[in-house]
Amino acid sequence: MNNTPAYRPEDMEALLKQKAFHELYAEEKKFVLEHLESEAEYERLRALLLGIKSGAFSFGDPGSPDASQRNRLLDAFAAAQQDKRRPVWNFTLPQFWKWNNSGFRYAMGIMILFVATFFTLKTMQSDKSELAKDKTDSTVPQQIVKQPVQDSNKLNITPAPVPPVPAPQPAPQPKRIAVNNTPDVNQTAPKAETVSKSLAEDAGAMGLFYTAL
Amino acid sequence: MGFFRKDYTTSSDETLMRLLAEGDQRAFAALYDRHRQALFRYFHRMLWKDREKAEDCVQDFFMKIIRQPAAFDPKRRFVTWMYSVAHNMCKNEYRSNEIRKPVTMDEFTADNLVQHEPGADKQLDRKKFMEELLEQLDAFDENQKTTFLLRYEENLSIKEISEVLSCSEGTVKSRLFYTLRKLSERLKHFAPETFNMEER
Repeated sequence: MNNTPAYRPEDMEALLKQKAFHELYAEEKKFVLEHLESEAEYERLRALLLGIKSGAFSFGDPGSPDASQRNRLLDAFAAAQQDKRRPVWNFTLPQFWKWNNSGFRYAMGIMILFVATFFTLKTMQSDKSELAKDKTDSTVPQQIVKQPVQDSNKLNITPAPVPPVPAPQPAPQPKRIAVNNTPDVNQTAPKAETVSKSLAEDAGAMGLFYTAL
Repeated sequence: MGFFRKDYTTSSDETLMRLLAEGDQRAFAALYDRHRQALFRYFHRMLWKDREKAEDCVQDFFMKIIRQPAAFDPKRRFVTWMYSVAHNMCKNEYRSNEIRKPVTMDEFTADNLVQHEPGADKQLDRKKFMEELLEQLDAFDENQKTTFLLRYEENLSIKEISEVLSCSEGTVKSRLFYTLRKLSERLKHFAPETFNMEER
């Protein structure tokens, strides 16, 4: 079955634009004369088409719409955009906050920037203080930090040997103080042996204290 | 700041539509400035040379864009969409105005034709020819007239016209051929040299 249409006048426009009748091939002339009455009609159609295409005929310029129309449409556009935003802002903010006011928008922008800067700085500051705190905590003896309880049998970990605590060193023997004072009549002078003994006790206690530290 | 500024004059129609849908007023203004004249001309031709009606239709068209920018299918070319909407608006006008108004030819003055004419001796013949051509064109049905104007006045391609009118390309070509043939028949009392400038 042949699907090609026998009648295709739509192809005529291309021929009319490109060729005069005498320039057509025999097949093209045959095709043209199937749909047009004569060569004269072909030439008349061609003249009309070329005249229209070349702009030889102006259809007449009716001009353009009134200049005020542009402003009306721009106002309508602005109003439509405002209507789109309004329901959201009405829900959250009161009417008198006039979002159309550009000054208000700038003020809001600056305020948001200020708040953002404030929080950023504050965060940085808290980070610094935490860092300083961490450094301080590292000086604390390790015994204070609670280690998680582990089953040494399962993991086969032998506990680390505890270093022996050095025994307190005996305090150096104080020099004996020679008592040259003349004895008071009312007061009985302490014996030299008693004084030296008490000094030695004191020094020993201090030694223990420092060792403990 | 100028580095980030959008160039609306070189942006495509489709880009401008996307921007105006996002609320960009300057995109809308650019789109209006670009197409208002062609659209006005189309409505003016199709609606009995009624200037007021053509203005109203242009305004209605752009109001539709403002209210429903999403009606534009971004997959389509804006120009074909624009003329298809305009074509439907004209259909509605035809329905509401069953009796057509008489065609006026006031705007086709000799001054309009002089700028295309090298000589003034045949000016009168040309003017008469133009008047009759437009009269004859108005006598065609709306589809034929629209097809003819979109093709030869608005310079749309056959494919674009087929999209505007929702018909096949073959139908568009047939309509054009039919309209041309009828026009040449009805205007055959004019000599061919009256309307062919290229062969001179």
